[in-house]
Amino acid sequence: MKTVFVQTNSIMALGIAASLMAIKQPCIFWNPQTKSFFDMVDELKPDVIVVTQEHLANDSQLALAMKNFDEAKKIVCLETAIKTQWSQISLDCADVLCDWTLIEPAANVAQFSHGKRVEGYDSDVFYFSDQPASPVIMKVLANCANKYKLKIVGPHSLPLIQFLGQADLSTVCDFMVSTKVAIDYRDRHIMDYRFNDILSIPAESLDAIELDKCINSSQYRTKRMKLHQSVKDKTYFHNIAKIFPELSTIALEKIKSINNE
Amino acid sequence: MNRPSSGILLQSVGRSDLAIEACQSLNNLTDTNPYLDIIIFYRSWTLLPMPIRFSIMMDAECWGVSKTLISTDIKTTQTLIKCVGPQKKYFYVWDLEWLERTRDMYYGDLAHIYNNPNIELIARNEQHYNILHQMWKKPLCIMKDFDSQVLGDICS
Repeated sequence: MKTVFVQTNSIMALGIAASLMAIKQPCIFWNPQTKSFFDMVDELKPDVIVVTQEHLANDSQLALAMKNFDEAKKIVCLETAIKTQWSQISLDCADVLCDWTLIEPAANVAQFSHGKRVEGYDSDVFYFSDQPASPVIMKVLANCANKYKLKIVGPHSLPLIQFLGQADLSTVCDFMVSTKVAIDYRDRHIMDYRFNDILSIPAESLDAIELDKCINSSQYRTKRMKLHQSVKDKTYFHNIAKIFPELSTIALEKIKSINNE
Repeated sequence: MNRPSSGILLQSVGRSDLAIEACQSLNNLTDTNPYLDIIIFYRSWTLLPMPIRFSIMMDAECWGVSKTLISTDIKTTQTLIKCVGPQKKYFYVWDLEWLERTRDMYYGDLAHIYNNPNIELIARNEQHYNILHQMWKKPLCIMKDFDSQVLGDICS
């Protein structure tokens, strides 16, 4: 089953791609700026096309081109962070989406699992900088840097002494599980943190007193984590199993083997 | 041939704060203890910042150091890691360089330098000491601007 993803930094699309590749399904990322939709379809003959709602909101030509295309299964990733745009699309071209499969955020277990506590990676607060710095996140991190043992890794460099450079995903996972509290921005890794039993706090609504309590009391951390719903059955493997019946056995076997490791 | 007992690795011996402090400190040490054998190994040659009363050599010769070798930045630490001669290796963290180098270096590369089990870190001041302890590992000591007394203790 050949899956084509419209080139994106969407954490969901990347999660689906990583999970599909983990069960040895070919995935290709396509850049609409360099090749037209019809050329791509003619050349690659995809079985599945995955786009994000951001693409549909910003690229009307793409939305139009895909409207009558029914030779492949069409999947849209529902990004929680851009709900407003989503409602806009729904109003503008609801008929475009009627035959689309919608995917909700899930845990990217193919990439973020099996982290182990490493001496030297331990921190009070951890942030994975996988998107460019914004004033909101910089303000939060600067405040944390003054009070707590903060560690940051990721592909996007931040002007803080606590930023330790780029790291491969297994190292990022080790950093994740070695922290007390993770800062999450725009809900990008909320499911990954929950799957790995790490307390994450959204940067947008960070309360200094709450953060202090979470860092200083392990009981309070555990209490807060218990409030969250279990996400053990909300992974992209489960999503794949639901959407593609032909892959359900292999996807569920994969998640079972990951859980047993 | 007698091998030099200790050395300091510098990028350049030009007019930088680092080179000036290092030369001044070694001049002081040579005055107080003429038997102390410390050499500055440089990578690129420029005019010396002051008259010196100790030896300097190119960094290609640093393999000959038998006792203590001190690097002063990431690049010279990369040389230090490969150097098999010295018994003790130190990285004098003059500047918190990883802030600038994270664009071209991965965490693994930086950890190989700052968390290297064969290399002890030396902090420049108390603030650096705390940062290094928090982000990497606990430095051995604080040596303020190449304090000649601390340097003498490390190299003796």
